[in-house]
Amino acid sequence: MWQRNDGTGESNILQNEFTAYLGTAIRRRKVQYLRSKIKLQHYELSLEIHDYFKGFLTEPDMILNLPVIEQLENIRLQQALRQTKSRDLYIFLAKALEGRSNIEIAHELGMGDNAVAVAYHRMIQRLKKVLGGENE
Amino acid sequence: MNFKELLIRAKENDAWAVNELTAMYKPLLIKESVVDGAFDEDLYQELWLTMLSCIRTIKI
Repeated sequence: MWQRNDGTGESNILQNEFTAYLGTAIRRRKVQYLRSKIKLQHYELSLEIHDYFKGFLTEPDMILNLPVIEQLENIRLQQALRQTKSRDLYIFLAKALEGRSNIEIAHELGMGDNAVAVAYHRMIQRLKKVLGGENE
Repeated sequence: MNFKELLIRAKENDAWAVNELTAMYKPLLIKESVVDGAFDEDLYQELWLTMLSCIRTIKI
């Protein structure tokens, strides 16, 4: 039915124009679609706490054994915990949850027990600041 | 029937003409729907809708 389009004649020119128009529209839509998809994936990933922590936490086992962070209902506390450095987070969790002493943690991390105390104190201060609004 | 008549009929929502046109451009849509070597059905649907709107909006 269809003959080869040699670009001559009104109909063939119109067809080429339509193809070009369609091609541009399709490519634009595709770029738009892929962008929104990547954006969506970004949001989806940021809720996966295991993936999020995998990158920088030195002890992956520890976080796997601690579903606590996921269970926290306070979103501000969750965010604050996510934003802290892995070492501070480790110290905080080891002290607050497992009840270990400064000296034990200091030995494990190879730092002085004063430094552990300071890191813990700073962590507490920061959490107080973040959560202050609710506790007052 | 040449392409011009087909396009005009498609613009007037003639189902047969729209079918003919989409059949002609289906390979292009399929080609563009492949992302990283995998066929993306959602993208294919989006492109399909884009094509229908193109048929409506093009000026002859």
